[in-house]
Amino acid sequence: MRGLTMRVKMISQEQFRKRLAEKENHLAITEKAQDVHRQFLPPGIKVVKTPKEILFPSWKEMYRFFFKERSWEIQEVEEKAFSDPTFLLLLPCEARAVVEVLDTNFLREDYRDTDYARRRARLNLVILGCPAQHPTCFCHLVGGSPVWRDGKSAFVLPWKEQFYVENDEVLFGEGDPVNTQEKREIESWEKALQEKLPPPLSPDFPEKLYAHFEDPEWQDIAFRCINCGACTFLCPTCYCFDLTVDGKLRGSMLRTWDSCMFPKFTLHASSHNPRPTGKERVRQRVMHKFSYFPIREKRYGCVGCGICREICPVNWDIKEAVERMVKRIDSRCDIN
Amino acid sequence: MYEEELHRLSVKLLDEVEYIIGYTSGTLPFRSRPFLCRKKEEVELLTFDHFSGSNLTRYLLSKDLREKKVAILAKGCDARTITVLLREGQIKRENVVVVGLPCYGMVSLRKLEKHFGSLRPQDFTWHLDTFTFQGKTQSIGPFLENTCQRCLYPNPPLFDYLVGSRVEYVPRERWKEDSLKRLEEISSEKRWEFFAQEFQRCIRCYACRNACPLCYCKECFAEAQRPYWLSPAATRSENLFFHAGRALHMAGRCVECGACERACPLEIPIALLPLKVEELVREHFTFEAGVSPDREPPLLTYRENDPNEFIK
Amino acid sequence: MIPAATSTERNIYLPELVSIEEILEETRDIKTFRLKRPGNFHYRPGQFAEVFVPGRGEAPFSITSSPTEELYLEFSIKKTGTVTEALHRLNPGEMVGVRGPYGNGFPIESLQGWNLLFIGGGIGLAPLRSLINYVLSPLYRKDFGAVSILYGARTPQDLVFRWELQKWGERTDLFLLTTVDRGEPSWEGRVGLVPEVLKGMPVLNAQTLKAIVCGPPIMIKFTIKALLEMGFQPSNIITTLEMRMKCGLGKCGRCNIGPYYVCKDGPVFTYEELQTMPEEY
Repeated sequence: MRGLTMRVKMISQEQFRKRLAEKENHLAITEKAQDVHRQFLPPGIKVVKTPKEILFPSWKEMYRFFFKERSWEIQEVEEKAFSDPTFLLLLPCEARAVVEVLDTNFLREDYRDTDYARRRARLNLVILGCPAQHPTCFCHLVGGSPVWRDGKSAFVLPWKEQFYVENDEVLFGEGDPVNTQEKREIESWEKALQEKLPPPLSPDFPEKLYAHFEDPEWQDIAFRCINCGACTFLCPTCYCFDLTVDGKLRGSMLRTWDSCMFPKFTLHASSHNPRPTGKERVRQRVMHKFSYFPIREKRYGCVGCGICREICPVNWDIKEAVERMVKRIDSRCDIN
Repeated sequence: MYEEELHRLSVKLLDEVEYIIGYTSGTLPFRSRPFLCRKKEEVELLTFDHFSGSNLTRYLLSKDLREKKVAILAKGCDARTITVLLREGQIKRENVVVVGLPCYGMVSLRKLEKHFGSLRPQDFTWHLDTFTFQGKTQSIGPFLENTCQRCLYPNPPLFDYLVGSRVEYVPRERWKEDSLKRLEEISSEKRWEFFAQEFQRCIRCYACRNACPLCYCKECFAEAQRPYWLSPAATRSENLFFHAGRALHMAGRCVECGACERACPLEIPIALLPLKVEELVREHFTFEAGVSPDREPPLLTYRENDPNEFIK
Repeated sequence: MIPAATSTERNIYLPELVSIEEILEETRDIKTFRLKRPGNFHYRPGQFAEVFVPGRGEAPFSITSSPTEELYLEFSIKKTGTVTEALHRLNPGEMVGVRGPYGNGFPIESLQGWNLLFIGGGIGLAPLRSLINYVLSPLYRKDFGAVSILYGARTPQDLVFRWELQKWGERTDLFLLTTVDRGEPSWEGRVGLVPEVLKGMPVLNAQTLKAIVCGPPIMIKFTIKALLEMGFQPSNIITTLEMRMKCGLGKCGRCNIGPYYVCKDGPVFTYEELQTMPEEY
């Protein structure tokens, strides 16, 4: 957890606001983080809905092609001058989405996505700890917590009248040392917070859920979902994309966000569709996040941020879906 | 609203239908969600309040329910949707029992949050067209969804049973303020700026189109390869093309229910374009979608004496 | 920290442009394209590549030529959609992009020393052909046991690789049986559905045989059923699965069946593995 070599400091709320205002052009903040910490923030920081907007934009040219002098040519897209923010203020759940899910998919050693790697190397995550959970949050269910951090990125926690800061060299400047008494208080506060949280899903939940693929409960669970796809586009962990050719004699290969909620997602050229109705697609979404991805990568594909629950126009609720399946599996852990 | 009457009726209806498609309270505060009621014991769960905005008619088109006899709760806009679906041959009249719900308008959670900050359900008491917050009673008008502020049909024009009592006023005449009118009053340059800015934000998630009960095309023009109309890249020009194209495809069909706007995760006022198109249809064709089942939709009708030159 | 991308790291989506050397019309809607083999393109039988038609699109196709063919790559492509239609309109000399190879390919090591029974239906012979010619190549023939091939198509018009079938038929070191679902007056060969013909084949010793099946889903289903009845072990039945693919390299999240990505963990699977997968394909 905490090594002696980790740099910690305390800074005043004034300094926090001032340094952020100074670095405004290099900063972005997620909407959720802004909602939680609005009182501490200076105005004018660029707001993004999810970290995906910076790391994995909704559309990107992967390469260009053109027809010249009776033959085709393929060209890499030159990198434009870098203008994206270099610091992203975000909540622990969103940071977990980047570090545990997006990085896992795009930076895998076989076929590292060079565009993602470039953007990721430039982006410094600044994790803002949450003082408490909100009604839509359920990070505890998937092994997260309101004060999760990866130990490498900067971490900031509002503490009494100040801010407790870990691992920051460049953004907030000099601070006061943290004395042992305060360290202990923070640690025990975090421990108490952790203990108050309901327990996570049982470790064998992914396998057990896999065994329930044919469970008739899915039909019921899938009923109200209208397959609009809003959830997948604003989910910080969803990374499915499409590759389409744009242009005839001159154009590019476009990578755009795609969604497993769309009927055409798995439509074969032969017109066969292995996921023909909403039930299969809803099941796919839940199973991918809570069963398939964890089975492959040993971590959940959902971070419990609750953004999907907030924006769903028909109040389809992924936490409810998981809880219903837990009941079906008759797992031994308590679900809040 | 009218829940007792609704429950009594629903118990009787389950004798003649397999399911009742209605609303129930959501898993989060201030949310109402679509609900499939199958058994008489579940009837108690049916609710209808100021957040029951979803257009339930899209469930009539689902594979499982299409061939079954169902009852559906319908506000004015939903009932209009049913008329359009009937007209377009998507559902059979004998399969649908329409329970009409007179509606005073749906409250926008986003507008509430903007005004009151963080919300707690216990601070609010809801009446028909007013609500009480911390002792003060105020009108719901300013907090209604954009489409509800302009509504002309608070009472369903089509129903088999009517629950509750009719709304005695026309919301558009009562509330007078609405976002479309405001847009019409500003200069066209400013209007262009406004739309350009809003559609710059659009990420082409297609939630608006997918949520619309009348956008049921198997392949949308936005995704067609042959011919290739527009690029999936979410640039301002492609986004404008998509939204304008969709609004035009809805001309004479849009029932102004607001499902599109409700679904947009980025809170873009999506409905403004289809709403304006419907105003133009009213002006030029004196036609409103889903109101008179016998009138032919002007944009789906071919007549040899059509005054437009290009059709000849 | 995350290491930044270095300038020597390749853009993994970039195809290499190669020319079409020859196009062979197999049936009314299937053509075999022989492309110049890209440099440094090493692959195993059963792997596939993404073929890019500039101005049209990109689609995955299994490589039907054996890797022992050093100068070219062959793809047998059925005309079904936008990209395949565009491909069918191309002529020799024109260029397409190729990126790959992707997929797991056939498990060569586990096939060595075994007798092999290849069962193909329609265009399903295409991925099998890559392995068959690999096994029959002078370099590798001794690593494998007896080879039997059962191939069927709907009508004589739908048989692919007719010239290859003839060449195989002339060899003395393999057993070839071709059948059609519906015969024609000029057709002198067997008539019958592949699973039925399979059941009637001379006694097959399921203990020494590995079966490799490829074809339309319904044919695979009934063929595997027949194989199991004949005593084949699920781990000795090998088949390929198809799913809609885009990136081909396990990133876009589209081609999964349960936790398996068809482009990475497949498209070749044993029946034993298939039994653990949900029936969603």
